[in-house]
Amino acid sequence: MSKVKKFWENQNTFAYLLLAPSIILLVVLIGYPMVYNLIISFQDVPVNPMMPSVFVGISNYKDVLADKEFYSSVAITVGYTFVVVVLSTVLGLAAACFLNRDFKGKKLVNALIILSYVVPSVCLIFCWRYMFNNIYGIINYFVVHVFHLADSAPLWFDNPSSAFILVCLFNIWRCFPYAYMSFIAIMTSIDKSLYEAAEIDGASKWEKFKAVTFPAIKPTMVTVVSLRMIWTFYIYAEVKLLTSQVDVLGVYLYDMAFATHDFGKAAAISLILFVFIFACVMLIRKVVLKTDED
Amino acid sequence: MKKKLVASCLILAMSATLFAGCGNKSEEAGGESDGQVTIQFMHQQVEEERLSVVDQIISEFEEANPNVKVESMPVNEDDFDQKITTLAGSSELPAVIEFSQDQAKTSVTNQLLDTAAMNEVISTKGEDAFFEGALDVVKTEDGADYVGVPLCGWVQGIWCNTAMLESKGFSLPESWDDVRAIAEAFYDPANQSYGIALPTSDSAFTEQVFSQFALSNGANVFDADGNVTIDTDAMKEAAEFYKELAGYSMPGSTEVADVKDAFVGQNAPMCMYSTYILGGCQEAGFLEDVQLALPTNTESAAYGCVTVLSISNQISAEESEAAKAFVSFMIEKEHNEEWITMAPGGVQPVFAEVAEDTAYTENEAIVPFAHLLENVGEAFDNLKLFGSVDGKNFMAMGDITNSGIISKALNNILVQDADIDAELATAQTSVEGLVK
Repeated sequence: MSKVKKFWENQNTFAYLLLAPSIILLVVLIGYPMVYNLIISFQDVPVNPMMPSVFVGISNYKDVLADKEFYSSVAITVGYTFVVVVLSTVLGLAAACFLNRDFKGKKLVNALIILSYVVPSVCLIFCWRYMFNNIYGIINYFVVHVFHLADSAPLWFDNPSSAFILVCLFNIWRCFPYAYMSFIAIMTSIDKSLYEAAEIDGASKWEKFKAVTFPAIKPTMVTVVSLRMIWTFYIYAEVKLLTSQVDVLGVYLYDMAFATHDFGKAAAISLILFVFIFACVMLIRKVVLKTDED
Repeated sequence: MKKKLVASCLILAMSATLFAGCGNKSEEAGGESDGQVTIQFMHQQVEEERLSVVDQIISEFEEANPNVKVESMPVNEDDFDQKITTLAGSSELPAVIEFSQDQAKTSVTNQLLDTAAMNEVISTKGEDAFFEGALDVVKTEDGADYVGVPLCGWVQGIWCNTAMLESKGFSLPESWDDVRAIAEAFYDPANQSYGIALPTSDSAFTEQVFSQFALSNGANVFDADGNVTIDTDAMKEAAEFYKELAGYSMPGSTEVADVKDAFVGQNAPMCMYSTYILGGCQEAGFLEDVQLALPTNTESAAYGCVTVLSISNQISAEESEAAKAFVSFMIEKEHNEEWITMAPGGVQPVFAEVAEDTAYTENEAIVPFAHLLENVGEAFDNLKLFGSVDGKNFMAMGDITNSGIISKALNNILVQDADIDAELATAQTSVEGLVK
């Protein structure tokens, strides 16, 4: 009896009991797939689960690291992620700074800004493909027939360089509302008296941003950049549906897992990427936290 | 103490609710209860009108077989392969699956199908009941088994707008030279007129269309001994001809929608497409002017896809019996006609008893296509496919198509202006690596 009483009176035990369902869920939904992914990265895995998997040691990792296409995909993805994360964050921040005031039609402007984020990406992708269509696209109509910038319609999504620029533009346009919403939510909560005090001290707009706005939004910015970096790094559908000329890692990984059914190699790639992206996120947090301490 | 007890009870109740959702699914599908067997039928008919036809056939089957319940599982064509892979990986494949011949070959290679069950259904129906060409392409590599039970199919060739051809004094093309001459005569991009509408994107469609030109020149991916034969003179000639023709087509990477739009919009007098283009021609009001020709150089080559019903080997004996009964029901004349008239003109019969049945040929949905039935039927009986050599179907062809090696090489040649020799050599090496 005393043991039962002791159990109920122990605050730690009770806290763990309350946390137990969440911990079990995390272990089942995140822990198990991660461990399983690690195991199959050392195996040759058949599609049919009734057939035995063969242990192949680190050969999947060796194959991936010896594949030129992997490095090409990594380079494209890093460049793509850098451009999209930086520009979508800067654009979101600029829009938030510009619109953080009262004016007529503010709700309408807000709605228009977040439109590209809330519309299903497949609809947007097909709109872009029609806009840039080689035969009847409106962009080519302006380029060729209105402004006479080219004799024939440029093959926007067939040229690797223009395809890369367009998929970057598409994702910046699609993602910047997320940064905008995050920043404007924080900015509206900043005490106005701080700006008034800075103004009394004769601070310029840039100085007010540096001294008041930026410190307030910095934690949000870390979160926005970290999340956007992870999401962009693993992007697949938007790029795959727009063009076949930008082989980002998501496309490389998908083709490995579902087109060639090489699950072991796909698992090895995902683990390598996990280590890479984890290191990047940690680095960003460390740099920002260090700046905070300074 | 009392609060803690309440909180603990709440946690217990929440956990019980949570884990109840992870229970055994045997009573939901794929199981037996009260002597009734439940099987799943995974298919690609997602449009509402087609779905209602599938449901109608299923309800007719359930009426005739009260101890079997069939659950319809429509999956979009684009998601189909991924769904199959994930379901197979968790031993959850549905009992009956509507496959294309290539998808079925890949599944047989991965040992996911019950070939004995499918052989039984075909032998019960009688091999003579099927068009020979349709049955040949669904045989396994050793020719001993079938990868699925043929249900229907479509053929692909050069669709010609005869009124447009006649306007410039041409008749139906009978050779590569004829195709080239027509394409050249109609090519006027400034006025949005193209000689022929062809696919050039990195897609399976481009590989399918190119295969007809390659096969009509005697080139194939394998020879009879199973050696990879992509980097050959015959294949190079076909690639060169295809590139020349693509120069008379729309610019850039063109896909299914581009080809269809150009032909249905009468921007091109010829296009390479399946029988599914006929619905669009009918809506555009020039179906009576449409005729089918086949790419012909050293020989004629029709491409076609046989839709099969395959039975999974990841089900119980009772479910397998129910699956065989369901597939047998689906290939009975009247039910097969119901299925085929879902997409009039697009889907074609693979049974002589259906193709010759007046109930089918005089069906008001089929009558507008009557002038094409003979040509299409002949093409069906003479299918030529990459990976099928001397009556032998190499199962690796499904994986080769899925890998996109050939379509990537073609896109590089046609759109990126890559060197043909180098691309064919790369494709040869990649396919050899994949087959190994």
